[in-house]
Amino acid sequence: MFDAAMAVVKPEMKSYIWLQTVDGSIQQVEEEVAMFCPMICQEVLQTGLGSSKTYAISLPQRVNPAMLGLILDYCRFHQVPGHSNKERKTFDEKFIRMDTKKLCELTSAADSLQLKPLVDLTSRALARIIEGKTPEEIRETFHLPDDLTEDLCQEEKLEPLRNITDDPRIRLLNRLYARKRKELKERKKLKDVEVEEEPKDERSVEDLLSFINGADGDIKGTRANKNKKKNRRRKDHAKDISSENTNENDKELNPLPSAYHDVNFDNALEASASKHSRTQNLPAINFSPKFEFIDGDVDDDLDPAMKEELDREVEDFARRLNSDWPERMQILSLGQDRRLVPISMNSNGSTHLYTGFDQR
Amino acid sequence: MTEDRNVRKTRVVDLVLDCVIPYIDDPKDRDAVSQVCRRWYELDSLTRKHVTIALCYTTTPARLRRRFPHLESLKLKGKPRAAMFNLIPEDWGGHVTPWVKEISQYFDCLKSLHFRRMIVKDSDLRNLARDRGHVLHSLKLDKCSGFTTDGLFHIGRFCKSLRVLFLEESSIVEKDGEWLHELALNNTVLETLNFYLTDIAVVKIQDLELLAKNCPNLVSVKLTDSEILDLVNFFKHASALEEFCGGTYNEEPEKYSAISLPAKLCRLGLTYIGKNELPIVFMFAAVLKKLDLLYAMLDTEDHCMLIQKCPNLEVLETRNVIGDRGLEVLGRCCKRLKRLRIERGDDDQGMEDEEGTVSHRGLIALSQGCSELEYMAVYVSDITNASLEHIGTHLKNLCDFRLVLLDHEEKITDLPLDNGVRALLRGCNKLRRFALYLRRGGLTDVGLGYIGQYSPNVRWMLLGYVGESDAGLLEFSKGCPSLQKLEMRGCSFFSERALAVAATQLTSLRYLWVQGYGVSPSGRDLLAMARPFWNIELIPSRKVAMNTNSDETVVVEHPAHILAYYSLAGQRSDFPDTVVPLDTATCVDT
Repeated sequence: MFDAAMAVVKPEMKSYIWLQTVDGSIQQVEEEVAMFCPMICQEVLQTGLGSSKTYAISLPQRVNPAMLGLILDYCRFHQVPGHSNKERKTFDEKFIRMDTKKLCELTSAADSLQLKPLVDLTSRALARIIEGKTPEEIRETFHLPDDLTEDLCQEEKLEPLRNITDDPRIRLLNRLYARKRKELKERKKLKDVEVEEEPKDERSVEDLLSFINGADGDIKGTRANKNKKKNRRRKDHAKDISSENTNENDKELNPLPSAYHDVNFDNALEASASKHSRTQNLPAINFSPKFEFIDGDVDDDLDPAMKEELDREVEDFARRLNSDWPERMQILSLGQDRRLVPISMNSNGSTHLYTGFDQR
Repeated sequence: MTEDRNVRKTRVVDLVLDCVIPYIDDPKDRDAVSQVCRRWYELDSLTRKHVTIALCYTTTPARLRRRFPHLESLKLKGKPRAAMFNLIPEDWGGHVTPWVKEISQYFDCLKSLHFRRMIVKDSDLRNLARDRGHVLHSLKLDKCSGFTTDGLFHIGRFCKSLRVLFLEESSIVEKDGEWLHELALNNTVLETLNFYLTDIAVVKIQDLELLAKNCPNLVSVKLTDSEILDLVNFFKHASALEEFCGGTYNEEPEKYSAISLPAKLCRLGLTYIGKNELPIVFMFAAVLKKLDLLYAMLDTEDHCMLIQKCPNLEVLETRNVIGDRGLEVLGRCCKRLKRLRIERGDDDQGMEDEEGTVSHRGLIALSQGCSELEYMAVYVSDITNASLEHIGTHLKNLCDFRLVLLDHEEKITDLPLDNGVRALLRGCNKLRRFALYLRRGGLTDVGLGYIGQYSPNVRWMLLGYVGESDAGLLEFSKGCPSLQKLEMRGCSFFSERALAVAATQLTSLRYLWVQGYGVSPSGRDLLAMARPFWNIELIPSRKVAMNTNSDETVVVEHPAHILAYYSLAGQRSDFPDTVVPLDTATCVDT
């Protein structure tokens, strides 16, 4: 049905030309629009190509799909008879409003298709862009190299150089200043690159901080809350001399997390752990049997998932740090400190479990 | 990746530049294009069609040829502009011979040649005609000297494609009229023939008629004195004529009313025409675009009567006999006026109209009425700051302004003109050329500083009797970023050292001419402006014999001149005895 309709409509209504751009894409264009381009017209008449997708006309390399689209828009408008000169002029003025680079590409493409009216239009537009500009401004606009040697300028230019200064020394200084300006520009570019890197650094630092803070935060947060509760209950305890077993259990529960927190905190803060510090910790543990029991429970909670995660994060972090500069080595040592913590915890955990079991 | 992108961009724009460069015409833009990069430099060299060389000693013919091998049009200037006022020795220099040799041998594409204030020999014209005659379309010998009608004979004989032959104001030694006959016989494409204000007198009417018959495109003819009644047949054949200048009116006035002028005539120069012959002009005054009354015998009243019948006038040249009243009529009736030149009349007061003077009154009326003015050159007898302010306020299209304050009125209404000059320069921001010629006290150092400060686009300046001291000159030279040519007169209060410093401070300056400066005892203070590629020439003060109106010979002393200019060719070698080059090489080494 659909094909049938197409077959019916096509011969009566329109003929098409098939065009292929360098990137291989093939496009079907109304014949009267495509033939508005002299180059395409010649190709059709001379070679018979363009009548089907298989025999598409290969367009010059300078015509990419985007430029072809623009050119066909131009042709579509101008090949229609009946537009007034004013309308055509208005269309043209709107048509050439584009950036300089695009205007260059369009001029080049139109030139390769021998579409003179469009070449004239875009060439005049480019000429208008050039008018009134200094050589430096023109180079900047079109991204051109400054490859005219000074000797060449002096030798061949009909008009003498602009009289900047009469002192050869000052002239030399100006050249030096020009170089410095160039270097400064390059440094600026480097800074831009560094600025780009800094966000990465910031991210890394944030990751680092979030990792440290997150871990601490989780632990701290929990323990901090508990700590506050503990303080209040201690006061209660002081007031009420005789307490129920339940209350006693609560009291015993509270001290454990606090102590644990203190140990980790100390380890985190200190660059290196000392035996003395560990020795001090041990008596505290031995002092309270119930404390040991509860501590064991906590250790069990850490073991399965959290411990693994901690290890992985530490290792990843270490890799990142190793791959970067010395500043990060300091952070690496901090990471190593954190590595020590789990080991210590394991050791303590084991001891606690054993002791608790025996007592029970 | 980035480099690849840059390369691609360069390639695209280079491909495209071939299409773009034909649309870049302004010499300054061309110059900028040629300095962008090597590729653009080369493309500019290959495609440049026209070059003006403002002073023929700034480069050499061979260098020009190497740089622009496909030139089609060349304009060369020789003597300093001051030569037009008899201030430069006749043998100063500016010979076309080296250029003609190069042109004859190498410039295959050259069609249009313009020599201005140069010395041309008959042999130059012969060589030019013989070697380039078959392609030459336009030859202008503009205020030139040194040749005779024998040289023109060769031009007439061999330049069959000539469309423009311009000899206006040249000093030509006339031997016979054969040159015009040859031109008439051989040429069928002539459009412009101009030997106006020359000494050529032997002109056969038959040759003019033959020329008119053979050249259907003859559009402009300016000739010397020929009785208008003898030109009836010429006018009949020259049906395309748009511009005519010259002629005399020696017969009874009634006879001239029968003359039928070409229908398209719209640019007219009326030499010696008087009140009684004006009806000839009235018939087509309404279509006139240009009127040259510099040599007309009209008084103020006649000017007013004629001008009010010319509503489409775009160009007017006349003497100050037009008066303020005439300028008021211009302001009321000629809204399309673009160019106005008002020269001084005869200094003998009895010869001119009593009210034939121009002052601030006329300038104000003019600036209010003719807002399209682009070029304005006026000799005034009296002036005020207010009139200059009006010009700055109303004449926004003014590109070229020249004012000369005549010295026959002792009392001037409003001096100094500092504030008026400032207002004018600030208001007329399109100004490219500026000339101000006053008297002692006409402009102070402050005003001179204003000129420097408010002339960002001015490329040529003539300053006469402006400023008070070195301080003003130095303040002036801190500005004027575009100034390429500077001419100064009547500045005995500027020292050589200040001139030298000013010359180095004016960043675009390429050419400096000064007369009447404060000469130092040693004459060596000028060397402070010495630098590579900068030539300095002196014309010492000299005594010149002049004929006054009463036919007495008076010896006048001309003050010393400095001429300094950039040149890629180094010091010239064809000095006459009247010119002394300063040896700058020694100073540069030091």
